[in-house]
Order: sequence, then C-alpha cells, then structure tokens
Amino acid sequence: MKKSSLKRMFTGGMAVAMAVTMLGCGKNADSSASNTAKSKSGTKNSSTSAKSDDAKAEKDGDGPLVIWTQGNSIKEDAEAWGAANGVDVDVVVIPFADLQTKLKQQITDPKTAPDVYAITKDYVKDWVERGVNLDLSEEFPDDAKNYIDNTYKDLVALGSDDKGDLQAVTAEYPVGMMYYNREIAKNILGTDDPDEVGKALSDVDQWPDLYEKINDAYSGKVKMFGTTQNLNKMLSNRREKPYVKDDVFTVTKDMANIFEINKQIYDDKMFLTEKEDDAYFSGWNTDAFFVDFLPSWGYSSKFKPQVDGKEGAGKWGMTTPPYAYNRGGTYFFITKTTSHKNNAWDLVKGISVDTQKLVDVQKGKDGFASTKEANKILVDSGYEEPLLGNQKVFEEYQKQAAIQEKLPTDVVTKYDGDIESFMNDAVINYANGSMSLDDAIKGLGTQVQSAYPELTVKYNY
Amino acid sequence: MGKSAQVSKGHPPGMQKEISVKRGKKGRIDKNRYGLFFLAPFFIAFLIFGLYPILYTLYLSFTSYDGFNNPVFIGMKNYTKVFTDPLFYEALKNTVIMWVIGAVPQFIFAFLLAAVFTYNKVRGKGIFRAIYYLPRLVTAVSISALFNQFLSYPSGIVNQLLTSLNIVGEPVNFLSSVPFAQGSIGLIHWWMFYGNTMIMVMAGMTAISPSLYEAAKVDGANGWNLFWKITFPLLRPVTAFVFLNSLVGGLQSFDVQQILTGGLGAPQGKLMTVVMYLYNTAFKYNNFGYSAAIAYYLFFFIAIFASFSVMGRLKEGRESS
Amino acid sequence: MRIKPVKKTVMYIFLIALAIISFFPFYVMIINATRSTGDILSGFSLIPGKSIADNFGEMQSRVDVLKAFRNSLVVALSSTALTCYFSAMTAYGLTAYDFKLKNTAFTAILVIMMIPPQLSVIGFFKFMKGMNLLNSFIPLILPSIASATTVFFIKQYAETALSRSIIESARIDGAGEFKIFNKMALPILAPAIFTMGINSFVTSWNNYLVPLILLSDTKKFTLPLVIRIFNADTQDPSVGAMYLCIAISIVPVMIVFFLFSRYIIDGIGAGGEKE
Repeated sequence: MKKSSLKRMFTGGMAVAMAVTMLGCGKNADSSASNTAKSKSGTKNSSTSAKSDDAKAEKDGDGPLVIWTQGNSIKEDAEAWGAANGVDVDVVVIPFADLQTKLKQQITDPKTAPDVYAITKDYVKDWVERGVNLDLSEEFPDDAKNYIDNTYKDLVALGSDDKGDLQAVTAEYPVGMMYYNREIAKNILGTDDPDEVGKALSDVDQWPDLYEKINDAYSGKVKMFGTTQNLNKMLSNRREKPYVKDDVFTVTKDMANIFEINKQIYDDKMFLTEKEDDAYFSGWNTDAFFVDFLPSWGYSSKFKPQVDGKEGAGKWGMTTPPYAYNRGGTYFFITKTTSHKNNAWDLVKGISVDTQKLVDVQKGKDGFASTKEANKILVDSGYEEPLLGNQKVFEEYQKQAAIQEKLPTDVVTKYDGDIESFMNDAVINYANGSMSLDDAIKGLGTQVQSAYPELTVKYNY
Repeated sequence: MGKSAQVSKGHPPGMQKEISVKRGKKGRIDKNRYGLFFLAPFFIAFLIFGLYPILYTLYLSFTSYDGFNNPVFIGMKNYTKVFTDPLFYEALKNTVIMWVIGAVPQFIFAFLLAAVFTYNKVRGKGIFRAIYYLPRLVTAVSISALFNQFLSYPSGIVNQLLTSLNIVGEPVNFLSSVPFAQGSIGLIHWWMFYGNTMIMVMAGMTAISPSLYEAAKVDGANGWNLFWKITFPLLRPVTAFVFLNSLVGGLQSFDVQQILTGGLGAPQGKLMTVVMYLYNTAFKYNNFGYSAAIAYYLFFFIAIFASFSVMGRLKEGRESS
Repeated sequence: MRIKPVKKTVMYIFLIALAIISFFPFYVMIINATRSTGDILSGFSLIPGKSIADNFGEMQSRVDVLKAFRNSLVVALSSTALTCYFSAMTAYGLTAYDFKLKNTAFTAILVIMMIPPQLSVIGFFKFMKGMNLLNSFIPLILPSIASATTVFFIKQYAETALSRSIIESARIDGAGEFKIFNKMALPILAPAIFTMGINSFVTSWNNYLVPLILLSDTKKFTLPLVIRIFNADTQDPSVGAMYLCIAISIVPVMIVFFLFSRYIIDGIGAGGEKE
C-alpha cells in the first residue's frame, strides 16, 4: 500500500541520513582510530636511498600518509611503496581540472591538507611561491644537496625558492624531442639520420618549402605536423623574457611571431589535427604526418601505445627539435604542516629520485631521469629501441639534454599554464581566419586580465 | 452552530470543554498557530541553506576574496568591472545563441506533437509520450559524455554513420568548429527537452474546450485557421510559461558545456556560458568576489524573465486557493 | 487538426521515427557498454557484444564507479526522504490552517522557486568550508528540507484532496495536530508526494554543480563527477568502460521512469518544471 511504502521509504531515508551523518562527521576519527596500529614506523625505512638523513629525530605522527595526485601511475607507485615499507599510504586521486582548486582550498588547514602532493610543471612555480611547503634544504640538507648536485639545473631551479632552498623534486627530465617518420625523411631529405633530419628542419623559414616537397611527393596525403598543439608547446618555449614581470604581462614580438607561424601553417594546411584526437593517434601508423613534437615521457604515454605491434613500429626516429623545449613533468612537494615528515620524504624519494628506482622506471618507459647519475646508467646500457628503428634512445635524450640545460631558467612564472592555454585559443582564432591579429591578441590580453586582475597588460608587438 | 448544541447534550464534560475551546476565538487561533509550526522546518532550512548563502554571496560580491585570505571590502569595483566585461557579454551571447539553437526546434516539435496527440486518437500514446519525455530525466552530464563519444572525430558513431552512408566524404570534426559545436549543444538540448515541453503544452491544449472548435467549424474554418485563431491564442499563458521557463533554464546552462569542452568553452571559448565563466572565475582563478558579482549580474537578467513567471504563478495560486 | 487516414500513416511514421531518434542514444549506450573499446572504435553495431565483464574490470580499476553509485544512491534517497516529508508538512501547513502570515509565506515560496542556484553557490561554498563540511554529504542532503517546487506542487494537490472537514472530525476524535498530519494527511497526499518524490530523486541523482564544488575526495564522488573523470581522460581512453559507466548512471533512472511514467508525466502539466 502506498501508505506503508511511504513510511518505509521515510524511515529508511532517515536511517540512511543518520548513518551518513555519522560517517561524514567521523571521517577523521575513523582513519586515525584504525591506523594507530599500522603507522608506527617513523624511522623504519627501506635501504633504497643512497644517503639517509637521520637528521631530526622527530617521530612521525599517527594516521595515514596522505598523498594527493591526479595520476593513476603515481597512485600505484605510492601504494606499492607503502606496502613494501609498512607505511599506511592513502592516495587521493583528484581529476586534473580540480586539483589546483581543491589543493588551494585545503592546503592551509592542517586537518584537511595532504602530506605530499604532486603537481605538473606548469603550476609548480605557483606552489613554490606559496610558502606552504616543507623546506627540503633545511630538513634534509644532505639529501637535498645530493639532489641539487646531481640534477639538471632547470629542474632544480623550478623546484627551488628565491633563497635557493629546495622545495620540490621530480623524477624525470622532460626532454623535448622531435619525432620524424623515417621513410618520409628518406624520400624527401635523402636520409633518415637523426642529426641530418634535425638540421633540415631547424629553420622555421624553410618549413613551407619543405612542405611543398612533401605535398608534391605524396599528393597532399601527408601533412608536415601531427598536432599544432604539440608544435606550439615547442614554439612557445623559446622565450627570452618571462611572460610576466613585475606584475606586467607583455605581448612581445616573439609571441606575435608564433601567431604568424601558425597562420602560415593553417593557410597551407600543414597539419593533421589541432589536438590529439583519434585521427592523430592512428596517424602514427598510417603515414599521415611527417613530424610531431613530444617530450621524453611522450614515448610511453602517446607513441608506444599507438605503434607497438602495428605498422608504425620501427618507422619513426627521434631527433633534436628546431628549438629546445621543456615540457611537463611532475613535481613532489611535502606540506609544511605535515606530521609525517620522515615518511613523506622517504616516500617521495622512493618513488622519484632514488637512483635504482629511476633507472628501472625510465628504462621501462624509454624516458629520461632527473638525475645525471641515473641517466649515465641508462646511456651506458647502449639500449637500442626497436620501435624507433633501433635508435639509441637514451643517447639521443642525453644529446638533447645538453642543449636544453642551457636554456634560461628565469623565464618561468606561475601564470604560464593559463597564459599558454589562452594563447592557444587566440592563436587558433587568428590562424583559422576568424579574427584579425590585433583582435586575437586583444582577446588574449582580455582573458589574462580577467583571470588575473592584479596584472597590467601591455602590448609591444 | 447546530453542532455545538448537539454535542453538548450527549457528551461527557471533557469533550464539551474541548469543543468550546475549538469554537471560541482563542481556540481558533491556537489551532491555526500550528500552521506556523508546520511551516517552520521549511523556512528554517531555507534560512540556513538558502537565504544565508545568498546574502553571503552578496556580501562577497563587494569584496576581493581569493579563497583563503580574508575577504577585503572593495565596494562596487566588482560590479563596475562586470558591467563592462567583454568576456561576460561574450559568454552571455554564447549562452543565448546555444539556447536559441536548441529552443527553436524544441518548441516546434513540442507544439506539433502536442497537437497531434491532443486532437487525434493515437495508439500507443502513453508509450510515445514516455519515450519522448525520458531524455529530460537523465543526467545532463551523462548525456553530454555520451554525445561527446558519438560526435568524436574521426570514429565516433555519427561519423561512422555519415561516412558509411556516404553522406560525407570524410569524417567531420564536430567539436572543433564553432558552428558545429554550438549546434551540437543545441541538438542535445532539443533532444533532452522537447518531450517535456510537449507535455506541458498538451496540458494547456487539452484544456481548450472542443465546443469552440465545433463552433468555428460550423462557420467554415479549416484546420490551419483553427490552430492560429483559436488554439494558439488560448495557449498564450502556457506558451509564455514554457518559453520563460526554457529561457531561464537556458541562461543557467553549465553541465552540458562543461563536459563537452572540459571547462574552457572550446573551441575558442565560443561554448563558454555565463555559469561556466562564473565557475572558472571562482574555482579556477580564485576570484570569489568577482564571481559573486557575476552571479548577481546574471541573476539580474534571470530575474527579469523569472518575475513574469512568478506573477503568472501567483495568479494561478491565488485563483485556486 | 483532425487528420485524414492517408495522413495518418504519415503521422505514425513521423511519431515512430521520432521515437527511434529519441531512444537511439540509449540503445547505443547499452550496446556499446557491452562491446570492447577496439570494437566500438572500429565499427558500428546494433547487437550487443561480449565484453561487459572486461569493461567492468577496466572501469573499476580506473575509478571506483560502484562506490560512486552507492554515494549517489545514499544522497538521492536521503534527500528525497527529507524533501517528501517536509514539503508535505509545509504544504499541509498552508492548506489546513489560516494565519496571518500565510499569504506572505506562500508568495515567499513562489519567489524562492524562481531563485537560481548559482546565486547561493559561492556563499554556500564559503559557508561549508568555514564549517569544515566540504567533502561531506551533509550539505548535499540537508538543504532538501526546503524544496519550494515540491511544496507548491503538493499544495496544489492538497487544495483539492484535503478537506477541512476531515481534519475537523479528526480533531473531534481527540487527535493532536501532528498526529493528524502523519496518520491522515500524509496518506491522502501520497500520490502527489510520490510524484514529486520521484522528481526529487531524479534531480538529486543528476545534481552536478554543487557536488562538483563541495567534494574533492574521489571516494566521495557522486556519479556525475565520476563521469567527468572518465570524460576528461583523453590519453588512452577506455571507451568501453566509459560507455558502461554512463550506462550505470542512466539505467536506474530509466527503470524508475518506466515503472512510474504515468505518475511523472501526469504531474508535469499541473506543477510545471524548470528545465
């Protein structure tokens, strides 16, 4: 009958509501109660780090070690580390779009802040400057010095504050490379040697001519570039000055140049897609484009899954791009207010900068590590990658790393991520003809102004 | 009157007392006071979860607040900014365009179908109505994700169909060109709401007395005339209601566009709606004060349309009580 | 607008075609939820596949969708229970009694109906943050006590269904006011409550903006938030798992609807809906 079912629904609902209330309120109580047994291990470490800091004999607090990340791979790593070392690790995965927001909301409150958090490169500067992090140079001076000595300059610079104190570490050196299709290279350039190919594409002004040749040879079926997004990540890296200085955002001639380059690329239809979509992914196997720009981690996340066991295998090579670029990478921070200092640092070390771990991980994904020590081991292995036509991939990375490390490190600001994302839109607006250059650039300025009212926008192009 | 006399005769003293309490002036008010108790939970909850946040938002709109430091009072600055903000008006324009693209077919289909069902015996009417209405109930987010898959390039279902039936030579990148992308949003809105609108219009149509039609037919009017001279004018209140509702809802669009564009209103920000702009300003760029001002400015637009609706409902409500 | 027989076939064709178009996305969704990612990307099919278990495994390994389902269920059921009971209570208060503030209250309710949620969202966020209630279900459930649309609808119904004389006679029999409400009024109002209950359930199930703002721990996410995670996963997406997840979020509502479509649809015309 309606009456009794209504009543049932009501009482059921009330019961559920009460249960939920208790669950919701008791969130913190629950976790600490059930975990006092597990996390006694303040100093129990695995012997994976080269030098260990017994520095502050502070005991770690109760409760699980909480780490916030957006990625599944870090989740798996952290949980594995926790299991191997008897530490209770609680990984909270927050979607990329929300991570910044949620972190900002909760970082200042010790009750809700994580112990460790992982941020992608674009936002690292912002977090370094926030002053919410554990000063690694102070807390773990030996380890910090070790890392600084051993790691590439730009990685260290990004993760350090004005005083030069280390706040964040990373596991990879995201060396920016250029992938090229060997057969097309042989056909058009007469060679598929990486150095030669790199040279041939190094001058932006030569691109249209090169493309004409490709067009003729393949009757328009082959495009020069995979995605404009990847191309632009490369182009925008060549800044001599930071986007924002002293709270002034300036649109420079260099930036306007990127707009023009894109316009040419659109006019001549030199690219396959704007973003990485299905057409792009399958294009690796169908000779749909000649080059694309991917960093070292792009191998395992984008290239290999598409090409492994398919027609594209062995058909591609990797070489130096026209302009060196540094893209992506994840940095680990420890929160100042953490009660798990030692465990947190051990975890971070264990999943990022420990040499053996680095070698193992990067070997498995054909990537490049953040420490020179680890990379030497990788290069010395002389490994030849079949999917890249037996190219000595680690050697290639190292060659490029030498170039890349020379890039100026003071051009990074905390606004970069958003500025580049606005620029993407503005560039497309101009390049596909829907706006004039001035309007598109003005649009960029408006967006930056709206997102960051504290900045002044200047146009100098 | 008579009741009291009857009752006082045959009932024990206790009862009598109760009744006299009820009938006395004091008694009436006592019982009626219960009305306030019954209304209390609603209004208390509203005060806490509804009114307070609304007023707090108003307060925040006069401050600069980044989410963790304390709000700083800055007077009307946020408002002067939003009144002249090209991005706000751009978002408003986008929102309205996408609404129109969806609303036009939505209303055409709704009226057409309502007429078909009201004036004809259709077998399976209940099933048809149910199927047309169903999309409205479903989570907007799920539908958007679903359509995102359908429209994906190059091997989403729509493209598979178009290419295999040879309607187009190459797959179309729906979501990267502005007209197609906005059109897709319109399509989703049409699909979700035409059934709902149809049912509301039907409610109005069935209320029109058939005798009017009979009379007009006697005077020689044909189907077309009947519709435009009788049906449509009499449907005016329903049409107005449905139109306003749709517009108010459309101005608040957020879910569909956020899922389809990942939050930035791509391509080129042309799918950015006002609420998306509001959300980004607060939760992406941490300008809560400005976001609050955007909310109130948007409300200003909504209020204009919603007030017509409220007045209509008020009339309805008064008439029935 | 009576239609001749010839045109009648055309009419049916039109109606059926439209029904197919309307239902088509759901059908494809269910079919694709059972096919593997590779199959879905390479071709179109109207027959179900065999990969539902695979898809399920993949889906759960990326995000705990079952948990999200449970979360959505808890929130929706609790919200619905609260809304039903307290809206009926409020509507009863407006129908069974006369008191000075009655008309003001009713007008207030009408005005409240028209307030867009975006107006309170920012303030609500700061308020909940201050009370440390982010990442809790409480702010998602408690506000349901005050649902103006539900009150309005039940009141309309109560005007005709509930007569004062019944209430009077219950009073004569010695019943207290709340008892009259609980034991007598509620059953009478049941059809309206039921209709609005379903509506309220569906609204809560579909709620996106507020949970998006309040919840950050993926373990507490409701289904719409989880769908967003899948949707945003453009690197190596598992399309089959995605379809399955979408299906899980939609099918319960479909089932509820087909069981109770009569009530839902009949209710629309009277109460009106905001889209």
